[in-house]
Amino acid sequence: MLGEFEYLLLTAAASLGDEAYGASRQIETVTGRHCSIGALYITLDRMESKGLVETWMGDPTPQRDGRSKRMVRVTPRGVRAASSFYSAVRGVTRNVAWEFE
Amino acid sequence: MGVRVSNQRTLAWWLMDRILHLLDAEEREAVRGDLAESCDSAAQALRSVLRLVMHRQSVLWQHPRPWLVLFLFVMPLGVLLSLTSRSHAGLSAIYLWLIVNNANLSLLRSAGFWYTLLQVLPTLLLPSLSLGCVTWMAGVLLAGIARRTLWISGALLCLVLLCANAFALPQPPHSPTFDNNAAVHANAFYRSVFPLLFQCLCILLPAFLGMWQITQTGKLSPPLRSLFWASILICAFSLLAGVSTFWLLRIWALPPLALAAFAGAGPAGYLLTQSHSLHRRQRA
Repeated sequence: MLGEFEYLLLTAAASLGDEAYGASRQIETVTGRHCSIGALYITLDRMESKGLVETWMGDPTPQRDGRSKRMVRVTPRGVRAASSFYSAVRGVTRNVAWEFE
Repeated sequence: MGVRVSNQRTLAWWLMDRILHLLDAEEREAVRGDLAESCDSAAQALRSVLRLVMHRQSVLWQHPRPWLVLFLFVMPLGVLLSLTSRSHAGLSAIYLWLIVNNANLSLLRSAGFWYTLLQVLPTLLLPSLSLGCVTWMAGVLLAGIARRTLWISGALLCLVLLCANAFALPQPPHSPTFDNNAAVHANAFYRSVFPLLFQCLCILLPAFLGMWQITQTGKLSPPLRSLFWASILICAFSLLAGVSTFWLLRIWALPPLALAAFAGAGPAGYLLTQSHSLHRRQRA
């Protein structure tokens, strides 16, 4: 079973597609929570060791003063894990409305 | 107030840049790029980078290699160098005390003083130079065998050196006893501060210089690496024999001049290789 942050990362990487790198900004935009680079890299390492994502160093681009990017791609195993997590969350929250008054 | 905050921020970014050097070059650049794009404050970025570096190092230290380097190279060499440096610092302190306490114009004009000084200087300088060369080579070799854990291993080397000094390892029985020099060792500077200064100058500084130089210039060539290993093993054996209690081993203790020659072989070989490659680059 995935952790919450792992699920967020997988979803952000999947939505960014081939251009997925530094998914922290995507997570921050969607969740409104700060995502540190340390947490991001450590979680990516863990997910890579589980076979949920593949990462590689992209070629340096002029956008970041010639600095390379750590690119991320979701593997089929990652897709299955995210799908299973999403189904579980959807199933368990079917009859619950999380709304503040 | 504003200047202080700005200084703190500059310091945090500078510190973070130093810490980033513990990462692989490729990852370091990616992290720098990510940080440049993020809206993190200097403190947040520093915390984030520290967390990442600690994680990377903890993963590296889960393998046996850094531990083998620590127990077979860093610790024995650190204790040996600390013992030797303390013993030599004790001897140097006596001569320094003699010179400092008796120096006056009439003594400086005396030919006998200069003659004695010239006799004593090689006895003091050669072992110091040899120690410096040995620790420089140790730094270079450490950078070769523990590249990814270098700065942690280097810090542990410092810790071993300081602890061996601070917790006063037992004096080797055959080392000179300074009962006749109680006046020198009654002075806190000569007893405690001078050995530390000596250790910093002759051991810590050359060791870190060696580590830093090799990270800047790259790997040693195989023949040079063999020369370094041979040189450091001979010197370590000789230093060990010098502080050993076994009289049989003591016959292997090299005289200062021979020790200096063996210790200097590594740095001399390195300088020759560097100047040769520089010359070739200039010609090309």
